[in-house]
Amino acid sequence: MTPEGWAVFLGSWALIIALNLFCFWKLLTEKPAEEVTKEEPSPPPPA
Amino acid sequence: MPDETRERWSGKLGIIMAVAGSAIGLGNFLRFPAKAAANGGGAFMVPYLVALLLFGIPLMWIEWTTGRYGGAFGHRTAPGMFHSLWRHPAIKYFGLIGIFGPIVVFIYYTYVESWTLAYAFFSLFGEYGGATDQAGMKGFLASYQGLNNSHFNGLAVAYAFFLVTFLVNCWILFRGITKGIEWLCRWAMPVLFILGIALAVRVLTLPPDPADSSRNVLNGLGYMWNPDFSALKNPDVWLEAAGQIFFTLSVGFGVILTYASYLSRRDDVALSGLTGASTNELAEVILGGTIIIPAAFIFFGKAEMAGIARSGTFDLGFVTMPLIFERLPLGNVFGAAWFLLLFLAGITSSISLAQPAVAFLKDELGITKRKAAILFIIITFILCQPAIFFYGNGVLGELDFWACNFCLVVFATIETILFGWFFGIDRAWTEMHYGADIRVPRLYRYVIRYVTPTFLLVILAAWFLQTGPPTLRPGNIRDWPALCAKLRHGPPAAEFVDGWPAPGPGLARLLPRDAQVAVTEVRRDRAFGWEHKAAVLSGLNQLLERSVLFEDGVFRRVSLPTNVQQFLKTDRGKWSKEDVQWLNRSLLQAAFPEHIGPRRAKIIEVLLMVDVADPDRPYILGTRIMLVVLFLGLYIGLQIAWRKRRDVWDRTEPPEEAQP
Repeated sequence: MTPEGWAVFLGSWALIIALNLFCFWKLLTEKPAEEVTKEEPSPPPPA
Repeated sequence: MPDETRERWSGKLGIIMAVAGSAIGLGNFLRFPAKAAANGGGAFMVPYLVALLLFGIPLMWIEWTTGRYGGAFGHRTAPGMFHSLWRHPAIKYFGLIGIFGPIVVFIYYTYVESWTLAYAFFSLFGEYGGATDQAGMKGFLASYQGLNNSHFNGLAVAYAFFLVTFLVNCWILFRGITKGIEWLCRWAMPVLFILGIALAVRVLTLPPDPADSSRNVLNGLGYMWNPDFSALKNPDVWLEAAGQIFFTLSVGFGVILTYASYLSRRDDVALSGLTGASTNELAEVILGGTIIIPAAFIFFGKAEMAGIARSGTFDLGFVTMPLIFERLPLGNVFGAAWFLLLFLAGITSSISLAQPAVAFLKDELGITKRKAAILFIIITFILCQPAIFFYGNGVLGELDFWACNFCLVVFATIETILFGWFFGIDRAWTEMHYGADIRVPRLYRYVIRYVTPTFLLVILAAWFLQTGPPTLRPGNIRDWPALCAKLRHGPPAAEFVDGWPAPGPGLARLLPRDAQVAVTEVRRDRAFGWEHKAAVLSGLNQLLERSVLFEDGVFRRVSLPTNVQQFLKTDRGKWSKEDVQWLNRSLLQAAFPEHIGPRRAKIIEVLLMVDVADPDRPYILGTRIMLVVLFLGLYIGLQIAWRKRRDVWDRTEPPEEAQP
């Protein structure tokens, strides 16, 4: 395994594990939706 | 409306596991490592991650948002959802692709899934018919598939495993969303990850080959991950990466639309969509990238790896891996674990593929859940049969092309343009963030509106711009009798540079025996039917794979195009099988320009399969007729739904209970 190979290998692992940790941490510590976003639902489509 | 239409996921984790289960399939463990190893190793991760960020994750968000939005209008499938996004009378018909595609995949995927179940048993009991090398194991697989009688007498065993697999799918379908799909995914996904981790740890702790210490796990990982950045100059590598993202995330099928339609209007889609995608990536890159290629490297060495990596998904999973497990201590247990992992990955995907059609029957046509499941089972059971009994005639490949290449890309392009442009990016963005647990970076407004559709249109255009595979198809031959005559005598002198004389005997001497007979038949003025053409074509295609065709002297002085001359100056040690085929095909074209036509666009090459000389023509045509009938059936169903539930289709806002 070359140094470039290690860099790609560990970089890909780190990116994907970090993404998963972020997602599951957010899921497990979720707040009520209204506190997170103030967005209103979209209006109905035009007839 | 029956009460059961109010089915809902029991929790957020339930739908995330279901979406991840749908996405994690055989492709994560077989297709991804093979594609990466064959397309620049670690460098493949560059286009792969770009595709993930620019259209994989955006498509996830588009499908989750569209599904939840359409679900609020009482629609569970793409036709109604598309109609709720854009009130154009024609748009619902494009949505039919989102039901048609998953049915087509389901009818062959369940059969492939049943192989994994069968191989789990074969592995556990060490029953591979004494096969100890690649050729033997390929023969065993072919015999199991009914292509020869060397190990199995007919299809009885394969069919028995198919029936078991199909019945398990039916049972889960009957149980519905919460008690069926969610229940399955809640236990199958953790088991799948535990098996995957156990296998990855086993591979990473394998000792080096005692006879050759270079065959060790680090070099195996290096084969998979060492980057060859020069591969990034090749547009095909980018297209392969984009294709892999499509297959792996289950986007563009219509499955996620149906799953998300069971969410309530207040449920988050932004974080859930991202979590579904990231869970799939965990299985694909971390587990898929660690198991198969490093293990194959240790047991087969670098010399055989190029062939193994390019041998195709099925050969990797069902030929290479059993051979590896045969040589491991406790190999039967690890082999059974590997195929059980593939089976779980398969069943969580196949069950999701059934859902759009069942939901369409139940919710749009208003029949009960039980009757919808029975109708789906009867129809798909009948449609499964050609893929099983005519597997050797290319039926499965034909179904795969239309479902996993054509429908997937067309459907994804339509839904992306619809979401970003016709529904409108402002409304789409607001809808996506309603109830969201995370804020999506604002950059994605522009990605969803401009970059994702452009990416998809480039993939569509590539079908017409990319030339097809180098293998010869019947439609490439312009004049069969004249070609056969020239094959016997070699290329004419006029086609040689500087008028060099034609060298030695013709190409016919290099052809297999049956092709030589077919070529001779023409000389004797016998009837030259498609059997003869098929034999000659098959013989020529075998010649294309010979690395020595150029050296045989037959083509030494043929006037070659500049790109071929330049290619001949490159390092022959780095030529792949495809490179050799391409070179030999170019040589044939240069030698017989009036008789062998050039390679055409990929899509045209596929359509040429129905050429009169193709011995599989009746099966391919039959498959296409079957698909047309299926689509027409869905079209009629949609017309009925349109009339029957006009009040639902005409809604301009979600009903009271779906209002926030």
